Amino acid sequence: MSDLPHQVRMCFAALLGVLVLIAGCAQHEAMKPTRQETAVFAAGALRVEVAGALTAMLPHYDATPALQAFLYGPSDYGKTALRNPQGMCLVGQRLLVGDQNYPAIVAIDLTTGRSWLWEKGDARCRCPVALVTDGLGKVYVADTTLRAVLVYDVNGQLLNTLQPDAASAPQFRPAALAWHDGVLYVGNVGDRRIERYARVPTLETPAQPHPRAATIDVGSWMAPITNNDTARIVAPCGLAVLPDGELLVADAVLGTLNRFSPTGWALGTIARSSRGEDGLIRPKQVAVCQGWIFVADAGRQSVQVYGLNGQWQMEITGQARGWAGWTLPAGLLACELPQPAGEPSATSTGPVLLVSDGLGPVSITMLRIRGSGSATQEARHAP
Amino acid sequence: MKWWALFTLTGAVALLAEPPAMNQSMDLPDLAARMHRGVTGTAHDFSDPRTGAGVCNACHVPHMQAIRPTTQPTATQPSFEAYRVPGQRRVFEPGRFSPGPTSLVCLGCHDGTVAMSTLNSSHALLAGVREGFDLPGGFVWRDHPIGIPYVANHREFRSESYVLAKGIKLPQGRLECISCHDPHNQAGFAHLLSVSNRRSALCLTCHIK
Repeated sequence: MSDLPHQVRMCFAALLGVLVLIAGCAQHEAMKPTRQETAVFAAGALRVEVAGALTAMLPHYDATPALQAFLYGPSDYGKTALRNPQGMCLVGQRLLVGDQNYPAIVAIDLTTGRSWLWEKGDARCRCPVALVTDGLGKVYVADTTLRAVLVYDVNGQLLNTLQPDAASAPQFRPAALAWHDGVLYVGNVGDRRIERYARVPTLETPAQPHPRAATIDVGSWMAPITNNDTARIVAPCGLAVLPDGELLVADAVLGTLNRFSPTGWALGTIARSSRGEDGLIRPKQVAVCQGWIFVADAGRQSVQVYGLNGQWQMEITGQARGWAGWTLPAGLLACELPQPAGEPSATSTGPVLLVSDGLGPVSITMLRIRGSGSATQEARHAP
Repeated sequence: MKWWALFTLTGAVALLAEPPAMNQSMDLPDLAARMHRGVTGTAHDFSDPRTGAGVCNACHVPHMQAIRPTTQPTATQPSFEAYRVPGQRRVFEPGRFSPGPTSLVCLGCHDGTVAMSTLNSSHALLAGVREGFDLPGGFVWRDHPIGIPYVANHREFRSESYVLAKGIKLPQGRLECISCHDPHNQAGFAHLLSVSNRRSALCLTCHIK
């Protein structure tokens, strides 16, 4: 090389640079989110539109320039891809996703598309399977490896860990969370019951030049909801609360969806283990949106939909042509997404359901929910 | 005979003894009964005498056609996968590493919710993960992968016929959870293994070292 004339070496170097630039641009094109297959499911008053991958609708998600990534490696800006997502919750404009593969909680700014690892400090979760927020500045994360409910503030700072007394819950293993009216419901798959943690917010004024009110976490564990003759509980992996306070419990081992009163009385079964169109095989999380009950079923690879009266409505599943569906759907989140930066307000997403897939090519799928369900909450007594 | 020699001889005999191989040609009811006994009392036993829930119900959903799955369709019996419901999408994609239907049955619980996660852990590196070692990212399977075609005709791996004869299942020619683990616990090995892993025997069934 050193024997070549200077001009030849300069040409060679320039050609090499052009090749690198072309490779980077090609990779950038390949990394652009492609348009996802969509589908529409309609039954009665309900219409569900599979809008596609959530990230494809976010501005600049994972938008680290390919050439930059090629030259300098992954950067913090928009490069925190999801690997095995499960539970999710929405805190303001941030979508928090529990990802087992890091393991970590990934935060996605839905207005800018930027994503990052949310937790601060040295403490890290080990297996975050469910997340919920109380709307008062606290985020609760169920960690089955740590066997505790981790309590964070909205910025990812760990505040506390919640575990019931070892004598009363020796096998505590939280796999599901729900929050309603000051009570945190915890699906305990280790002891086969549902724990209840009553949080009592109090105010205290610290000694500051400009006094501020701060909310501290004070609570106690209440009597759990346990097995009874009417409804068994084995693996409560999905919890949701209806508007009137009734608790929905999806049991992954029994393949059932049961209703309980806030105090733990069994009120009936909505769905049972079955391969029929209205049955469940391996239900995971459950969510309520627009008067409909959605259940992610990892065994059926679909989302089952029921009305508040317990009547089966439809099954959202992959199609032979078009949208391929899910591989291992687990997490559900019913919410309304904030507007991306720069988007006009007229293009509001309305109520949506986010479905996380731990193994599929699309990590989070967005479903648009149209049509409200019946307000009648009389349960259907399944045969 | 010296006591130590007798002790050594007895121990050697015990170590070399292997459990009886499962008779694959037994009748279906006998096979089901044997599987029932294998699961009873294990971590997969979710039976409840109060409600009549049986041992099999946790993994096997009723009202499924009682037809043994076949690998090759015939004129009178179509090929199907016993773990799928009608309309369930296929997870096998040629050329891609993806878990098969049998593994999805396991992963439905072993995703960190009902049971220990196999999505974020590694059978060989589990200790490292628990202690917070920062593993390089980019791959779903940190340890032995599943959903991959068994490597045949390779100088580092034994032949497929040998592996199958030793009791390692290869559903549709792929390595799945049930290749190393027997959820029915027929052999009685710890961790529901298909083959004993004493002195890495399970690994060496496939790998030539």
